[in-house]
Amino acid sequence: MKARPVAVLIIMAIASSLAAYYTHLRMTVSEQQLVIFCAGSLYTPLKEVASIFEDRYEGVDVILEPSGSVMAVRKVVELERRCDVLAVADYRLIEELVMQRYANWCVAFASNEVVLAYLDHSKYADQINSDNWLEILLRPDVSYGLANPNDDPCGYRAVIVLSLASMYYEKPEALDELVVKASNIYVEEEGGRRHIYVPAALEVKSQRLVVRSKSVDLIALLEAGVLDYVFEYRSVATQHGLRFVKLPPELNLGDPGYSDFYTRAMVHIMHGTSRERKLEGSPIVYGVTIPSTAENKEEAAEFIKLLLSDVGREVFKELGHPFLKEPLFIGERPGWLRA
Amino acid sequence: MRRLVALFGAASLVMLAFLAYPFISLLLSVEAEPLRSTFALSEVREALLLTLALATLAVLILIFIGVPLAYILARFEFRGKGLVEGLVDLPFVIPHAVVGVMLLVAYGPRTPIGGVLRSLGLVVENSPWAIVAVFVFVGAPLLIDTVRDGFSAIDPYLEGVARCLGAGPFRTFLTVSLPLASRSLATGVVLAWARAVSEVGALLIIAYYPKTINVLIVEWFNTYGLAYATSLTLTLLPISVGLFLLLRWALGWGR
Repeated sequence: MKARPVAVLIIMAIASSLAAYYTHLRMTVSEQQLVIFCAGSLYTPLKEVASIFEDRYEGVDVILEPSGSVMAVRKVVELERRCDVLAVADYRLIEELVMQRYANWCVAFASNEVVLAYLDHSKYADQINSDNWLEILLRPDVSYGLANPNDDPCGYRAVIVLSLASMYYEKPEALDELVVKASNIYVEEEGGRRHIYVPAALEVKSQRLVVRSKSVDLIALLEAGVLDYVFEYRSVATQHGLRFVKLPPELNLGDPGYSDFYTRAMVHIMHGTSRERKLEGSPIVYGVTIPSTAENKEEAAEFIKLLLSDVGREVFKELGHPFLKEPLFIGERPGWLRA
Repeated sequence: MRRLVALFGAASLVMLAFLAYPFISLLLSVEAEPLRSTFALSEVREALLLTLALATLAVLILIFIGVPLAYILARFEFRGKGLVEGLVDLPFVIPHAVVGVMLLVAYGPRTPIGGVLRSLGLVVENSPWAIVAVFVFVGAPLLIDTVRDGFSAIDPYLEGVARCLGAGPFRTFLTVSLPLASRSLATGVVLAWARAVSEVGALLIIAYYPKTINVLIVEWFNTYGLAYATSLTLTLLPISVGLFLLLRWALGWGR
């Protein structure tokens, strides 16, 4: 029963000196830090750009903090956390939430598209293609995953894709079967446009449909064999090494040329609460800005310049993340971005 | 008696199987390639070392400020004691992400207290100090509650005898009370340390960086998928188990 006091003391001494030394080591890093809050789907390409940046600007340490895009924005506007660059999966988030108080401009720079990701063990993996994917999803033995539209833009976009697909393929029963009957989401037709209402307390009623808060959580289920197909961004599917069905440009939300068709579906998320928001189908466009809370504005500007240059474009291309042909500026374009 | 053993034994087997099976399936699901590359990365080694070091630092801080509180709660009656005990347990019920938000709002660099801390070089945001703050916050109830129960179980008569024999209050505490409560202290230390090492929700809010091992696990899960996240989890297991065993041995547990 008796303790070994010497051993206790030795362990405590070793532990405390280790802890103190290591903490000291970490505290004395005096490199300048460039803090970037980014969407999870931007993490891999931005990490590449960051390592190129660190090679060019010695003494600057780039810190990437990925999260959901909405979360990234909240960290700036609600928690008032400091960041030097804010890059999110939907530039409208910056336009609507950040540009009131924390920024006066925004650059839209990259795009993406929704794909249907799967793996070799998914049912009918050897048959599925861009033409028959909807028909295969409708088979009763196939399971599929959606991110929760209330939490993840990828989720509401997937619902819009399914809605557009049922119009595009003239299969009105598809949306009914895959979404409406499988959950408490409901649809109303109004002037040729489709309104999809997603209740705040989303309920799943089908064995085939699996909903998770974030689309990346679905990938684990896909890998574990629980799911056959999940809706994902093309870049994420590429980076996770998943196989995917490329959807027609009329449906994949990746082609600004089809903006008009995309708007024929709209999703009302958080339906039934005061936080209800209406989201029109629109092309996926990533945006970046420097919030007013930034401490290293110069380095942040250099980083964005590098990102928008051919260097950034090349990195994104290699990782399967589409770039816009021309960046789009919103608000007061800063002088250093005019060149 | 035999029936009790049989019944309890059966229940224990179910319990143990329930606990062990997820670990077994984790081991089985690990792929060789991610595991090899995991151990080779300096990022992983740094995150592991940082997590273990800061959890240890947090526990040491807890010992110095938590054990006195535990002793007071065990030995003295005072007004508002229920309130104090409630406050100590409060961190248990708060969702992890909210812990991060609360600490940021209270001690973050743009708050009044945070400003004072900052001038002392203690920035509680994206820094080791922020991580230590989280670890102390979530570990406090475990350490304080366990050690308080340990002190309560000691017969006050023993402390009285020591005082009668001429030992001062501090000497009595150090040579009688603390050694008698050493098992509770060890349990409290292990629990608080383990709770710290397992924390991630609050860190994602207040201190994504420097990266602790669990933040890295979440990040890898999101970026590279399940296979890499599980192999990273696997690096943490043997180290934690090893440290627990070492501590139990040192404190003379199980004899």
